[in-house]
Amino acid sequence: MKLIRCHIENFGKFTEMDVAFQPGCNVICRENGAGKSTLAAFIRVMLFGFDNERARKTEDREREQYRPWQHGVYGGSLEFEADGKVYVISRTFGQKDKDDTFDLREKETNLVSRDFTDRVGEELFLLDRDSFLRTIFISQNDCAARTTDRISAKIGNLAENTDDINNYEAADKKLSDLMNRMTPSRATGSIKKMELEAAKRRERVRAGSDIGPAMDRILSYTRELKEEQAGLRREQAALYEQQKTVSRYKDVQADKEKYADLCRETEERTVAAEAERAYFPGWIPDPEELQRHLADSAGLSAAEEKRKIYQLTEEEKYAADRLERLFADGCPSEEQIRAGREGLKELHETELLMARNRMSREDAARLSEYRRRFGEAAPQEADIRKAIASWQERTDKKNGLSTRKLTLKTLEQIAAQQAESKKEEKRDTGRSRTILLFSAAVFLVLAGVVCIALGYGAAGAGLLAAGILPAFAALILIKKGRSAARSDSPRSSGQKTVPQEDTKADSADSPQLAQFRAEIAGDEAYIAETEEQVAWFLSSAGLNYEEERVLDQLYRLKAETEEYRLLRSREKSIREQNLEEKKESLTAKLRNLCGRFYSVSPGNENFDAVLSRLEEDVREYRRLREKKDQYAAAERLDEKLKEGLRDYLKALSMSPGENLNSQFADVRNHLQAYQAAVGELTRARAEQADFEKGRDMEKFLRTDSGMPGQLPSLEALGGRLEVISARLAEIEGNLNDYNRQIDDLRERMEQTAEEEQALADLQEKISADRRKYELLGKTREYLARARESFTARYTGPLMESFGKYYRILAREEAKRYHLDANIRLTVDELGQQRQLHSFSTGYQDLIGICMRMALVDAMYREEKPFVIFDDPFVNLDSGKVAGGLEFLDEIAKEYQILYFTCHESRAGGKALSANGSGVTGYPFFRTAGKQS
Amino acid sequence: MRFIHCADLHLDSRMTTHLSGEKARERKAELLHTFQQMIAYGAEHQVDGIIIAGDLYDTKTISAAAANAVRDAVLGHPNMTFYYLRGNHDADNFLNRLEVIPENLKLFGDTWTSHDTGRGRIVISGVELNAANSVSVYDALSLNREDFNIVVLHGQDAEYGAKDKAETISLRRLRDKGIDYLALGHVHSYKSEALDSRGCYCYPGCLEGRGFDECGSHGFVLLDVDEERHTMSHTFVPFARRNLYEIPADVSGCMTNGDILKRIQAALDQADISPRSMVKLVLTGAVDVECEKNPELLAKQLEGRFYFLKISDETKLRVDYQAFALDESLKGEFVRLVGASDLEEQEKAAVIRCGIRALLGEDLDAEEV
Repeated sequence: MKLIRCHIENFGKFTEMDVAFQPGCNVICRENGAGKSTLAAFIRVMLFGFDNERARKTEDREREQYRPWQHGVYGGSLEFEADGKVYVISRTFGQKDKDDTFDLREKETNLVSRDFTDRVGEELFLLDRDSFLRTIFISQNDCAARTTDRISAKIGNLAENTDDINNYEAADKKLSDLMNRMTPSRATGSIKKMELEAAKRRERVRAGSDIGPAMDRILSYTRELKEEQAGLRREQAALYEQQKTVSRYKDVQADKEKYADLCRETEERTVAAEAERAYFPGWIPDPEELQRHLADSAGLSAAEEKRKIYQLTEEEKYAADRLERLFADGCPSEEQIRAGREGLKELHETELLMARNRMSREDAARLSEYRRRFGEAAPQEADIRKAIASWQERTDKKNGLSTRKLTLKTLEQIAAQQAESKKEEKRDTGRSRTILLFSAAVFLVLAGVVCIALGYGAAGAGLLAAGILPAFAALILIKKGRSAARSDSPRSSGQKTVPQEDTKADSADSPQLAQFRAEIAGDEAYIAETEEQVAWFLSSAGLNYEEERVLDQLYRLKAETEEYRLLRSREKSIREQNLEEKKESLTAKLRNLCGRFYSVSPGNENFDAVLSRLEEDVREYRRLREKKDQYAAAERLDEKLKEGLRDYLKALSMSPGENLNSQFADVRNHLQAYQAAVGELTRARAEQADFEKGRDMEKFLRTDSGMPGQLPSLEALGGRLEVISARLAEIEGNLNDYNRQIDDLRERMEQTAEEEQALADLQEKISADRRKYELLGKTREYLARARESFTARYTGPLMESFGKYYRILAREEAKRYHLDANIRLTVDELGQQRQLHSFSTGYQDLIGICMRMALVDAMYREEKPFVIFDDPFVNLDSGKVAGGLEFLDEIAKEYQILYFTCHESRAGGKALSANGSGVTGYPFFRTAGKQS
Repeated sequence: MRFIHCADLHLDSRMTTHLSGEKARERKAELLHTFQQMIAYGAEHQVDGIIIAGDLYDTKTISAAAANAVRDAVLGHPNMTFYYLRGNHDADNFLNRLEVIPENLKLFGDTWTSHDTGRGRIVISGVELNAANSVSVYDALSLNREDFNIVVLHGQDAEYGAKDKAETISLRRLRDKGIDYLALGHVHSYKSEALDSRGCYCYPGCLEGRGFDECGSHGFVLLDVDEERHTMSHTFVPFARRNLYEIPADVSGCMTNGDILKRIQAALDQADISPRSMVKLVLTGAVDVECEKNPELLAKQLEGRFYFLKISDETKLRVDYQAFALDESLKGEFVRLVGASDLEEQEKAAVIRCGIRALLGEDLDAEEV
């Protein structure tokens, strides 16, 4: 593969620059900063694209490093030959790789070629960028040879067939990672973790190993307890048997004792019954009958009690005698006494009425006077009120009459003046009339106000009303005057008639005046009439008419007529009711009633007290009579009861005692005692019979109740049984505890067994994983060995190439150098193989250059690529530089070289080869139209 | 008379060998339930006695539930007589929980104990073997040949007994003793053979399989004894709720998980196993070292088909070294190198498989190695 030319549109500092490449060595000797590295970078970028596209810092991105400051198209083209064809790559670069363009054409046809993609570098060299930089691109200070899988693959010529060598590192890493994850050496490894877990489980299992012995112990205790329990139960059963036997004997003994008790009791009850029987000399009283008599004896007490209650005291006896005598002819009934009370009440009412209606001398005198004045027909109240009202009206009218008359006079004067002035001076301004009317109005109003102030309200009102009239007239006149004044001019010419208003005003005064006069006349008439009527009215009532005192007289008359009516009413009442006779009658009745029993003085009777006394005596009399009757009844009853009781006692062949009550109580008690004794006796006999019924009494009586001496007592047996029961309960409690413990231990045993199982499983897994771990180790080992032997195939040729170049460059044999399967050189130094990094930079560069070329030789056995040397000899001494130039000369025989340097001393002053190929001794930069 | 002969019930067994958590507990409960169902079967079929030839329980300590289940079975069926011979796994803890030994529970001891059924002269004798009596019991056995003799023992049958192994039952020494039916326990699978000209011996096997070493049918034996003629028939009654199966699947030649799955499904279909079963699928055959084989994924894909399924990979890896002889790649070099090593063949195959998978960039985890 050969470069032919490149055109840089804009790249770094280059703009519109063309460079032509020659076969062999192309020497570019320019000072620092001229752009050698830029040109080398351009070629690389055209083939592989930019590096560090994903760098975070912009300045770290190669795309930005070479972005042209002057704008314009960022890119260029590269013409090259490969496999006999000439291609042209054209690329432009945008802000990002997706903005880039790529164009590949065949130079000959200028047609787009699909022989390569935009990864043309990888496709051409079968290397990635990194591998390219490590081999074909040899730059200053980066001469060391390091391989990559791609390089190794290239060297092994296997990239076309398989890429397992490429995957070796990844495979080894996977295996290594898996081993790390599984490692038994570190705590992070799964095997180690499992072993730790196994240790814990083992510990738990070990801890559970004591469960078995503990279980055995408890089972042993349980067995012992069970045995003891069984033994105690057997003993308990035996004791129960003994208890039964003893009890049987005890039962017999008890029966005998019981029978003896029964017999004894029967005897005792018999004696008791007979003793009680002895109390009754005759027959045994019937309880019901006795009970009846007992009730009677109780009745004695009641009768006695009653006698006591109803027995009269001495005082009562005395009173009773008195009252007997008082009411010897009969005691007044309730009805009579009630009638007396009513009569007394009526008498009192009558007397009260009489007192009420009785007239005094003054009243009688007044009545007489009134009768004389009024006769039988006194003035009615309504007439008097009417007279009063009329008089009041009359008074009002009279009071206003003078004022009204005055007003009338004034109005007449005004009318007369008007008539005169009208005749004489029709054209006289109404002002004087107006003034006159107005003056009259003012006068009347003032007069009215004065009257009202003086208390003549009606008169005042009339004057005020009268004052309105002239005022109204004055206003009319003013208006007439004005209208007349307005019509004067025409009037004077006699063209207009008098306004209708003036005519109307004149005619209006006359009716008014007439009416006023009529009213006054009416009032006067009323006044006169009223005076006349009132005078007559008073006269008829026997009063003299006095104008100034008419109202007083009328009021007084009203009061008198009222009083007259009342007195007459009272008089009538007394007369109509016949109160006196009634009183007499009532008095007589009362006297009659009371006099039968008490002495009542006529005229000085206090019937109230007498009746009260009578009532009291009657009550007392009746009470005492009742008491005496009750007492007699009680005595009779008492006697009757006693007789009955005595008879009964005699029937019982018993002598009645003094105190029958207690005697009967005694009989009752004895009867009860006897009955109880008989009952007890009956019961005792029944029990005895019952006892005897189920037994062979002969045999029973013969049976010995004595117990064999060897049997323990019931108390002893009971005591021992109690002890056994307690112990059995204790054993049961202990067994329950043990069972609980057994359950717990069993659960723990199960857990331990589970742990054991889990431990066994875990150990199995650990073993399996260990085997796997070993397997992985072996796999890695064999893979590494395979890789070594695999790569060893091409290390020989590599060393050979290296030796060839080393001889040229270093001018000595490369015997001290060794190459391992990882294509790493070591050098023998002081008896040991040393890594190159221990040596100087220049030395490392020298070796690196040789190794790089050796790799290129191994990688490209047929078609040779171009090789770029970017001042690789910068760190070599002058001797080595000469060797370097020879080295270039040698390489140029097979490879197209691009050799960049910044110093003539490393450019070569003379041709390194006679055939003119390879190195040119002068720079050849060519820009557009120029060649520098 | 009718008897149920059962043994090795191992009630209260933990069942955690293959199962864990909930399934183990479920299975444990099933074991107990099957026992109860067996008793119910007996009641339903007018069985007169239940012969338990040892290992009723699994450990010397038993849960209250297990103890009560047996107690309730005994007490709840007073018309059935339970003949209980303790085995090497049994302890007296169950009996310790009983206040009183019920009338219908007959026990045996370390000397011969005979229980007359009271009908037809059918006598059931037994002895609990231990180190002290394992030799002397044979001579001490004395049976009335007029009776129908059922003898109950727990141990491993052998022609000749071993002095150092108490559980070994010497069949030879039990012959011609007048035994009509030797009711044995200890072996967990059904087995019945002639003892002598008169009788036979029988292991009913365990009632429920607990591991894949107990595959196949399980249950009890139903004995029918004619009281008059003293003849007997016995039938194995499969009664287990779940059976265990070990199914091989030859996956030779398969290269992918899919291929293997097809082979497995064919094998399972052919086996025609109830979904209630517990299945151990064994992958057999030889597969290429580059075969994509993931037992865990396979198990996931078959999940739910059975009550329990586990896959055991017993395939052998096959390496065609000849195919890599001329392979110039790193892989070829690797295979040749491993092939030439002194590792064992299967180890070589495993290393090669691992290496190739790594080179192919496949994800590796410990399960797949």
